[in-house]
Amino acid sequence: MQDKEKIPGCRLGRRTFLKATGVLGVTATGAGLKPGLPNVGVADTKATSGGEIRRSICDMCCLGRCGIEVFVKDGRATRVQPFKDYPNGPICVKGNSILFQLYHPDRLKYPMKRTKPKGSSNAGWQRITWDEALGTIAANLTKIKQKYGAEKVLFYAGDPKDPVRPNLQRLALKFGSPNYGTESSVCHRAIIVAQNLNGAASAGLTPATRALIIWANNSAWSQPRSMGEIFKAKERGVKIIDVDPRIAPTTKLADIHLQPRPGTDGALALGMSRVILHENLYDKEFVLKWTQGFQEFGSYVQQFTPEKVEKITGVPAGKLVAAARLYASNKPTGWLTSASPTVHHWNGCQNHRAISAMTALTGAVPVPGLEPSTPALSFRDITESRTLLPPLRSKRVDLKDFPVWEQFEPEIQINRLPEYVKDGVLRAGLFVGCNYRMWPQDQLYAKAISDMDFTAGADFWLTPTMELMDIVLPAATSLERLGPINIAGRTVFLPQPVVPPIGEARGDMEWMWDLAKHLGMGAEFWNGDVMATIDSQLEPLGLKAADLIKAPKGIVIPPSTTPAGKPGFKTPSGKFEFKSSILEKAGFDGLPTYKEPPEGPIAAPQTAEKFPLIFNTGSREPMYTHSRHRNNPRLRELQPNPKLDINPKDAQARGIKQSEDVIVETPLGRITVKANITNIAQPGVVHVFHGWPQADVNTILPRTFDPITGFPAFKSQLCQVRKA
Amino acid sequence: MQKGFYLDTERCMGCHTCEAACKNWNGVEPKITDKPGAQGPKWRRVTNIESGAYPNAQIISVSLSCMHCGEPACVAVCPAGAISKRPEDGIVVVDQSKCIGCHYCFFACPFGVPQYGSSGTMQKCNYCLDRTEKGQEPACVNSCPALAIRAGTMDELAKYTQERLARQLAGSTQPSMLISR
Repeated sequence: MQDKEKIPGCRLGRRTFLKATGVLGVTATGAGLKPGLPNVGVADTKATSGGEIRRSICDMCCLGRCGIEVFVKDGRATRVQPFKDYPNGPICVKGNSILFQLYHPDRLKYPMKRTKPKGSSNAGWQRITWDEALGTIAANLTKIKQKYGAEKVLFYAGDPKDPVRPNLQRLALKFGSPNYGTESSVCHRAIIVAQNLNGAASAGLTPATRALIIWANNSAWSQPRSMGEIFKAKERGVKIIDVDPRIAPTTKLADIHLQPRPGTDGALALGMSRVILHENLYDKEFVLKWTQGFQEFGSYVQQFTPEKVEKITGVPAGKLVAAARLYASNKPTGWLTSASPTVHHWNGCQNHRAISAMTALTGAVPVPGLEPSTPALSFRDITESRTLLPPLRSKRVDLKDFPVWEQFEPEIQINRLPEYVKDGVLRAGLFVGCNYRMWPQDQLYAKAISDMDFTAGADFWLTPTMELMDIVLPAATSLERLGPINIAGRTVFLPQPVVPPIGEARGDMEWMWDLAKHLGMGAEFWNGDVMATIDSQLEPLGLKAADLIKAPKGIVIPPSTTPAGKPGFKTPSGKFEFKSSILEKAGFDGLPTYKEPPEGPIAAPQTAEKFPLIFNTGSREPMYTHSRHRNNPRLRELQPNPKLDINPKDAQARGIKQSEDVIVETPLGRITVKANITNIAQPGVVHVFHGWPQADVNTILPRTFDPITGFPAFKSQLCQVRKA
Repeated sequence: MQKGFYLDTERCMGCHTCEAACKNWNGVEPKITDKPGAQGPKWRRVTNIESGAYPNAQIISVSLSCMHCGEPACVAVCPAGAISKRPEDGIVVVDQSKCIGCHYCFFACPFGVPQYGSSGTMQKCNYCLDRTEKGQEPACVNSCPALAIRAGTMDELAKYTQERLARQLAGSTQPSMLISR
């Protein structure tokens, strides 16, 4: 498997080159599709020249919202290219494949209702009108509200993370339910909770940064557009430390690469903190003036000697010391993290806090209000959650389960959905996109959704989750709808439909507002007028929807400076809290203590005898967004099968060959995937991407939740791998 | 003036954007197969190359397409006269209407560039002539988030890469391709 040849640049012999590029063995004729691979007909393969360029936003992932230019000829999109003048971009491999989503034959085209009872092998979907669909939804939600209370209705938003979420929360709150939840119950928000507990986010990469720690971030594959800034930083001499169990494209930019065992980030950060304190490399002024609990933190980290940390994390003691020195000796420092890898562990929130504390020692956390600032642009919050949520707070379903989360988050922590449905706490749901496969033991979530008295969902496809609904609604993609407003840097942009919608698909904002009218709340929803709503959202920016309609590249708002105010952190002490008073009050450790993953090799040695490999799931692949795009032929051809990344050493020990079927087994079950033997994985750790229906990692992961944030431990389980 | 490509392997990060942008722009059909190496047709291909072992393993990514060789072997062997090298810029183009699908070019090309879709005739990178003749970058270059690929005349590329220790790819066919070391 291993190619010993490094690419020599000047001398590539023919065979070497062919081997390297995987060209050998290419058959010239088109092989037919094998059973099990999706039959993906259609599409835009006839790219025609010419046509008018129209601009929009790409919705192929949840965080990009990159600008996209679409060539439209005779009302049909034919090609796309990056929208170069837009701050977010260029579009990635997914964006370049967007037309296969737009024109996919399996798109949901009309509202439909179930005609067979739930649990039937076939729902008997029957086409209905939008009026009947929204009328039925309104009647059922009202019935539940009258019989049991409005809070029994769940309002849920899945991926993509769209600015349309505030609209749904407004609908929930005006309806009378505080139980608005999203897929952020497993993504990103735990990081915000951890930051808020400590006090503020650390600085990222700025023009002043001299040392950057990239901790669990592979933007090359999750958000390629942001790599440009990292390359620039490298070229200007910024020292880079990459903390990633894998070898990622980012790794080759690193001066030092640390590969901890997944789930041990906290120990690594505490070990680095010890070095920084011992060698007197910390920012004394910041620590003395702006932090709380420094002495206790200093005492706590004493036990994390480099040797002990090596035993826990697998990171060589010498490398840890070198990384801590390099980082703390090159101030100002910065920290790039990503949405979830550090918090997808049972001790995730504390681990993340420990990293934050380590960066704080180097002065990386700017004190809010100390310096004049340039606030990011934002539009008016139409949720009105500040006034509408407090009176409903006592009816939040997550109040007792996750009190720390509840203090910070205006949306509920929804990960105990099966219990809430079983206990009758939630009885109906409106799902604006939802994927039950995102939760560990996902079959319980499918059952919970199916067991609700009434459910309705909107999506692009009749997904396995939508199959559980009573009513499904066809959602328009970003290329077919008006809005929502997109802000990128200083640019405010209002996407307009570039092509007519497929079938009767409608924008989420549009149908939600229509539903509000059916619920008798039209007056509170601008009588369903989307343009009037956008006008209201834009008011603080001094813009009107009509201005943006006339600005096909958006409107740039010059930066304005907010003068320095009363400096201080938004914590009870007003300081950065090494020791969190909020956590202590809630019965947790105030310090960012390190605890072993309960299902890991140290905490569960007996399990580890039978399941000796660390099972890490959820790291991004370039071509997929979670469970999406498996039906997109241009993306599927890049990665046709679920695969397991396994180190050559581990593969050899098991007699596993490249691309053959292997079984991944945990105490909860097994899945079958193809082996990919690669140095991306370090010895002892294997990786499987999530969201494959035929090899769903979440069916074999336990419901182990971080008690502070409720986030599932997706990344530090145990497994065994063997030939199928 | 011979035109060609430069690839910076320090920057290429294996994100496949160029591959998809190429297929999107040129309307290249997708083909899904789990037979290793049988994906295609691809006018541009991204590959990861690994070397060494933990803890000193290295992984680099390369993105390659037709090299528009100075002495293209495909042109020399084509019995139908379907492949030609444009005198003005050295771009190697294929005339689909003349191609008989014999695959001679596939076996002659040192780099495995010629591709075959459902039509059976040969297809490959045409340097996005419908863009480059208008002064635009080829789709791959235009889309690369890492600015890892560059297009231009070989003189321009040589000048650009002077400080970057790039070398021209070696081969009897004189590939018009520079790659960083």
